[in-house]
This record gives sequence, C-alpha cells and structure tokens, in this order.
Amino acid sequence: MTEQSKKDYNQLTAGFEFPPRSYLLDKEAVELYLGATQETDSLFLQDGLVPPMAVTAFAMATLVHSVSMPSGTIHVSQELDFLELVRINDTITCYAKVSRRIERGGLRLMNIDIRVVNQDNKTVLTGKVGFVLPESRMGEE
Amino acid sequence: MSCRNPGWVKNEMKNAYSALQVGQSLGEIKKPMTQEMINAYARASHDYNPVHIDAEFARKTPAGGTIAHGMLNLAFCSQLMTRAFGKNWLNGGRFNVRFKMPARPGDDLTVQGRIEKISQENQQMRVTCSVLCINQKGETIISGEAVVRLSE
Repeated sequence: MTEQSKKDYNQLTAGFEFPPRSYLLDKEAVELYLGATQETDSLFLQDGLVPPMAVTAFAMATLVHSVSMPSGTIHVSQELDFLELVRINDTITCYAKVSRRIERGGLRLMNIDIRVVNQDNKTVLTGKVGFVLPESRMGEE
Repeated sequence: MSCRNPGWVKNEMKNAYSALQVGQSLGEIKKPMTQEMINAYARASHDYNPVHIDAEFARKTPAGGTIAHGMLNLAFCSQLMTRAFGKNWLNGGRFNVRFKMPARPGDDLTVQGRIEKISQENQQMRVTCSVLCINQKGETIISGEAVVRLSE
C-alpha cells in the first residue's frame, strides 16, 4: 500500500477495522527476525518455533500498512497474550480494530485491539495497543 | 549481547517448579542498540516508518533523531522470559507494559526481570514477574508485568 493510499489517522474512529493481512512465516522470514533481534534460543533455531514477538511484529505491520500515522505519534502501551505455539511455515492472519479513541487535555488516545489466527483459524495471539496522537492541526477534523 | 543466568529458571523448573521464589531475579540481558539493528528490524517486521530508519526525516520530528521500534525493545524483554520459562512463555505468556521513552542508536540497553508473585490457577502455577528495560543512564525504556502459566 502506498503512502497516498493509506488511511489518514483522523478517519480512524472506534469500531474501525483494519484490512486483515496474512503472512507465511517461512524459515527465511523467521531467520530474518531472529537475526534482527539477536535471538539465539534453541527453541527457535532447532525446534522450529516462532518467537511470539515476531508474530506481534507482523500484527503491528497490519496497522502500519493501512494507516498513515503522524510524526509525534507515541506507542505508549502494549498488552499481549500468547495463546498458542506458532511454528515455522504457519500462515498467520492479523486482524486489528480501533477499540477506543478519546481526547484528553489536548492529547488523543487511541487503543487498538489485535488478534492473530493461524491457518486453522485458531487464535494464537491477542493484544491491545495504546497510542497517543499529537494534537490536530488547524483544519483537521 | 550478553546474558547472565540464561535458562537457570527453566532448568530448575524441569524438576522443581516449587524452587521458584518471590523476589528471585530472572537475570539480565544486555543489548547495545545500533542503527544497523533498527534497520534489520525494519526489514524483518516490514515497519519502515522513517522515524526509525531515516536520520534526516527523524531529526525534524519530535523524536529529534531515529529511535528503535518499541516492539524491538519489547522483543528483548520477551527473550528474557523465554530464557527463564522456555515454551511456557511462548504458549501462555502475557505482557502488560508501558513504553516510557524511546531507545536510540548508541544506547546500551539492559533488560531485567524479577518474580513478584506466585499463585495457583486451575492446577497451574501462575508466575507474575516485573520486567524492566533501561538505558545506560538508568532511564526506563519499558516497564511492566509479564505473567506466565507453568504447565511443563
């Protein structure tokens, strides 16, 4: 998705659902993640499991691909539940939905619920992401 | 990267979950943050937000320079939990954290954890840990809680 075709964050209201995205977690993708995070645990390199934070990274990418966030956006909080093991060559599909958006003292707070399922439609991860968005400029909203 | 006491909890748990005690340290992980690491994480996560990878762009933002992805910093906390609790963390772990400030290239990060509470839940042991990621100045990057249910 190009920057131009991304949704502006001002269009995100409670209930907005991000377009789901699917990813094949093949060996190459997982090794790229392990290298980037300097993760060397044998559970991943030898047993073929996928770090839950790699699954989280793809869930977050679902947001990044769909929405153009303004500079000054701060990722302030994260809740995550790792519900099932994810293995190399699993295909995951990531869903995200704006659960809350409020304004408080000039700041805008937005919470997004995320859910990731595997190829058997089993939920492997859920979470909540909290963002603080910068104050809107004149003419916005 | 260096790691003290990697896997000691995991090894002990094989025979004796009851050896765990409130107040026990989970050891620590040290990670020097570099721009190369941030760039590699951008490629792996498909998150190419320029505030992470474009120094010129990032200088003009409130961040004042490139910053690491929050999820990269949190990945280090997850590594600590994996080393301590193994597969139990991957299948039944829970994070609830707050990002206090960004990590920047050149920072030396230290991740620490400690057992805060041990309880029984549905015949499983539930271990609540505090997790902390700090920089070389002792400033908190991430603080929060990690909960793991022990079943194997």
